[in-house]
Amino acid sequence: MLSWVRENRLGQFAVAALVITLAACTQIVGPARTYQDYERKAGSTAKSVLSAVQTSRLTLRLGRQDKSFAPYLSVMASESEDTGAGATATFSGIQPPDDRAEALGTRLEKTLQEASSALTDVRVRARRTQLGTPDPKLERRLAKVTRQLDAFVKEHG
Amino acid sequence: MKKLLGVTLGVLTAVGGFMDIGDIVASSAVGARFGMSLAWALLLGVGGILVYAEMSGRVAAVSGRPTFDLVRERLGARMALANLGASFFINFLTLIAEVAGIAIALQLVSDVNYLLWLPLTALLVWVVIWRVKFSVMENVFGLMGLALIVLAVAVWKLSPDWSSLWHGASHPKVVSGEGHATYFYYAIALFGAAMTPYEVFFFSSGAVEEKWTKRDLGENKINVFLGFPLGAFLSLSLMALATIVLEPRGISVDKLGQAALPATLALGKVGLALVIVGFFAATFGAALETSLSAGYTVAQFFGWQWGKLVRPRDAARFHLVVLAAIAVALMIGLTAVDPVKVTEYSIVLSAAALPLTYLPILIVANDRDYMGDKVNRRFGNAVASFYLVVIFVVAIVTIPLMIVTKAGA
Repeated sequence: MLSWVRENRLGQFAVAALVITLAACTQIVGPARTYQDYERKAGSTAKSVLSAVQTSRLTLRLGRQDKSFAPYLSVMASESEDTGAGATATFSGIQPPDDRAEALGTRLEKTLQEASSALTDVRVRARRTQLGTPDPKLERRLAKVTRQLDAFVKEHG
Repeated sequence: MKKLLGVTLGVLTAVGGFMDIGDIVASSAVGARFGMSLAWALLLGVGGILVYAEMSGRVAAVSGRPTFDLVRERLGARMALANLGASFFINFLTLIAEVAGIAIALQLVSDVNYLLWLPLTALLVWVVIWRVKFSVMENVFGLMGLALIVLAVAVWKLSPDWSSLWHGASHPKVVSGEGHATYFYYAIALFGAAMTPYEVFFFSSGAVEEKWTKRDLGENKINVFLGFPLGAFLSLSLMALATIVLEPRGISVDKLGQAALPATLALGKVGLALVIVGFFAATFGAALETSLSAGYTVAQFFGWQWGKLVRPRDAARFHLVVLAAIAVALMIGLTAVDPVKVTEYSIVLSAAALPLTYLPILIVANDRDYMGDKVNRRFGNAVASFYLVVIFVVAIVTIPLMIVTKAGA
């Protein structure tokens, strides 16, 4: 097989195409070397977590209005929590390149922690099939986090 | 009456067959991110699959030869081998995504992790291919896929601002916060999802298996020209639902379950149940088609005996390839690779490989020795040539766009 690739131009082309394609598909989070780079990554993280929080809010609403089945709500709540946690963990691993970036990161991470905590609470309620009972406090927390993330995305996204 | 029933079933099957996990994910993700501004890419793709699916069905009915058989004859063994490698790889990625899609549909109704469902779904796919008749297989999953009509009902129930939706679709523009490269990357994803090569491999091989003749050409046309546009209508409905419900909230679709949220919001439990049945049928139907396509392409390239209707003892290598494809897809699926990401890559990469599949079909459809009086007419050739140019352009720009946009990130 290897000798076929070595001797065959078509084979070399196929291997090169495969390598380029796989490289293109890989989304390794690299280090942020400038403030702009860090800000772009922060904006992208805020967008992902905002999406997870909004999905969770919609899940809560469907449960409260008895518009969905418990397993579906539980899956949606778990996946939102996983998405939020994944984005937060990835962002935490990025070293801020300067003080300004560090301040930005600290501000976002506070919101991300609030979001993670609220997403976990929604998942717990969904697993206990408690979404039919309104929880105004949790809804307010999610609404607040949504506003903060939305503002962050508008400012830095 | 029997003929009418056959035609109706064929159309319904085409509707169900058009939708697969690629169309579901692409339409929903694009709607949530770009609104209706990429509807043109979906319509362009549907036009392409209409032209080439009809052509491949006609070629198969008149010449009795399926698409991949012609690919080898027209491109030569070397080029056809490269084509086989690319087509098989993309088809295989699609198979992984479809098998995982079935498992995710089951997860949505059971709350049991889809990884636990995967072995069962792979086994079911193989058992259905092994034991169930072709016609039963097509009709059952095609008809179940019609449950997705609920998507159109959900759009209507949400009472959207129709003029705004129409304006978004008819005045395409790059939405703020997105670059041109990302916009066109997703346009290619929609185009690739509509024109996935396995559709013509399956369609033409199925036509040969069912022994289509010139007398079936009318039915072929009706199935394609009614069924596929109706399927596209469902994809547009999914895009509209994402535009109405998900886009304003900033929700991006990276899980299959999110695609069901808007219909659930509009129609409640009934809507959700029908959407999940539709997702199950669409992914199961496509898993059957991609599994069989794996066997069809390899067997037709090497000149082995092939066919679902041929006894396994007589087409052992064909059935072995199908079984191996399902087994390896299962193993890769069990590594917890993200099925939505696999879907996205498969539809975009399929766009890059389109010319290898569609060029030979066009050449043979113009060959009087094979086609007799059923060769392409001038208008058909003009449209097909236009699409061939589009396909070539798409194939050239796909990989660079994938690199520049980091796969649409």
